[in-house]
Amino acid sequence: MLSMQNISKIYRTELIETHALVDVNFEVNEGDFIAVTGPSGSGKTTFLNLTGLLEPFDKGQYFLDGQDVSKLNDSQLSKIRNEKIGFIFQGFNLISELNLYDNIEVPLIFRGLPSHERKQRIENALEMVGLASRGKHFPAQLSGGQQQRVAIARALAGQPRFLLADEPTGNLDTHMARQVMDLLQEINQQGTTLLMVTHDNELAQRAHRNIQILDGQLTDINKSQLTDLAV
Amino acid sequence: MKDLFQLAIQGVKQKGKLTILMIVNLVIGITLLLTMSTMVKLGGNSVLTNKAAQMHHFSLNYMDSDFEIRNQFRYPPLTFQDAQALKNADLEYKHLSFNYDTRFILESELDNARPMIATASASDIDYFSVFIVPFIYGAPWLDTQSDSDVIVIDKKVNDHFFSGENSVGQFIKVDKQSLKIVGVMDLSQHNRRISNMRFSNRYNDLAIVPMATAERMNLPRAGYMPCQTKEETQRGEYRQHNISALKSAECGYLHTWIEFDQQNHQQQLAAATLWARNYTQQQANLGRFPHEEKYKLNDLQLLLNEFAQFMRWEKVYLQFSYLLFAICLVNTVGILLAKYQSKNKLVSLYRALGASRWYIVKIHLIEISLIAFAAIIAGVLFAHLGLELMFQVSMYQMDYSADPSLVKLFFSMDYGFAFTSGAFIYAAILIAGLYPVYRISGISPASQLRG
Repeated sequence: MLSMQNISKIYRTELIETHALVDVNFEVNEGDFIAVTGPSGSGKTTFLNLTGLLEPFDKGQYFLDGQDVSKLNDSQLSKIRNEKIGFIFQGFNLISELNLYDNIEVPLIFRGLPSHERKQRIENALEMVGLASRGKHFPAQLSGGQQQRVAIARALAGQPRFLLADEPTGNLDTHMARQVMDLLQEINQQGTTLLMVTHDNELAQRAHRNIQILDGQLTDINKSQLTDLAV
Repeated sequence: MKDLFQLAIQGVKQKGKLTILMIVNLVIGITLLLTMSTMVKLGGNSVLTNKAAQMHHFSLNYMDSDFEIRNQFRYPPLTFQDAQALKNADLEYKHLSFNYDTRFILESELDNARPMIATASASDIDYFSVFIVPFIYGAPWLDTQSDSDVIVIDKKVNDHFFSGENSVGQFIKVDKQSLKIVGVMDLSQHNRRISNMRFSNRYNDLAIVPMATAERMNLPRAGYMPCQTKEETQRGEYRQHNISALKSAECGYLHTWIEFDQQNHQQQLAAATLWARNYTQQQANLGRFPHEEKYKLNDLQLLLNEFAQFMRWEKVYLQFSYLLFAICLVNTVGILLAKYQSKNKLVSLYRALGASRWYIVKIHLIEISLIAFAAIIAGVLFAHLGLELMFQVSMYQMDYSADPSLVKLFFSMDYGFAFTSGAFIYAAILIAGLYPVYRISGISPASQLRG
């Protein structure tokens, strides 16, 4: 469903060029759960941003469901982000002025879904993350773990082909991190492809496949190697 | 669209203090702009504008050679003899009307209302057509009544003495003599008294009586009445008492308006001008008309334009209000940039969640439209207060010796004008907002979402 061939990304300033990703080749199949690890500054987030079409790349080809995304304009890329990709951020990125219901509704509004369908999807998503009774609450009234579950609900409500999670448990304590990971694992078991960037080897071990990024290059690694590479 | 509005309203609420600052900033600019532009616009308004090019004030300068005409509004009215000559001339026109300014005391026949001093005109029947006088009851007097004891009163007089009822056929006392009311006119939209060349916005005609009746009743000549030096000592007498002597004197008191057909305007004007030249030349041979410029036919449009020059301070203030509004627009750009600076993360999130750049543009244009709309509505309301304030200042400047309802015509909100101005102001605000919107819509989806 997702294929990258010789993808490179270079950040340029007046004085320096930083090769964030170098000739990355990468394939993801339907239903995969992939954990991406690597030291700080290795290019994990850049990789995730390119995968989620949040940033353009400089070289190579990227096919998503067989479609060459390098040829798409802003409007088409936005549509793919909205319909096929769900994002989960380390900092949750919920809108503090909106209640949970309205937060989850935002990407559905961008898609132009009718209100009755939006309502149905939001209720299902809240149900799935165990916050069905708290739709009218505001993010500030929730714990960190609950806020991340809302962010997951927002991603799920769009029924995406795959979820991209950038350090989804980075701001949570161990107990909450485990709860969130249980939830993500459950979602993956129901068929949603999951690509997760993490520093936490314990969490990375839950993935089907582990990838390490080092100096902008991707390497598949065994779970047994995770401990050694811990940052 | 509803969803876009909801997102835009959320945008208005975010950084609410900056939104309020922006609205206040715009309201100040819009209030001043609307107040001053309404005043200047209303100052140049006239119900006669449509035919102003066809209407001419007819003047012959019979005065001594040392007499200086101070401005376009001080050309002498016609003397009785010259008026007769013009009346008898073989000219083509739509209307020719003579009038003079008078003043008298109006009293009720039944003594049921206090007497009132009326500014009025003595005129012929053409006066009503030339000045497009609207009637609410009755009509002008008939040709056959031109020497009868009849009168046309204004709605204000009718309201005062007859409580607004139809008073046609009833009598009213003019300087103790009863005149029959034949019509009730409504000059409430005639913002200036043009017939006597004063263009005053203080008082308008409260009554009009036939010229012959006025002469017979010896109603005073209250308006501009320049006399040759040799007649100067008699001027008071001519004004108050001796109409028969005035008719043969070199004192002008008859303001003369000639209206030409729209179709043959130029030919008729040329013929009237030729007549004036020949007549004054012929009279010059008899020792009259010593001035080089012996006659003048000023069209009303020229006079209205000339009068607009007297509004120079208002126009200066208007220029300042344009400048202030421009400054307010620049402030708006600054406030929007500050407001949007704090929205970078939100817009980045919107973009990540699937909003296209165009969608972001739409949200923010609607947001600016909502703010502009609120500012324009508030600006119009405050402009009402501004106009009321300027009305009070104007009345104070006139020592309150003016008809407030007439003065108010220059300080009332013209909603058609306000709507048009509002549309331009809205467009200006939207254009000013384009740069901040361009900036915010250019935020990349990934730029603000770390951590």
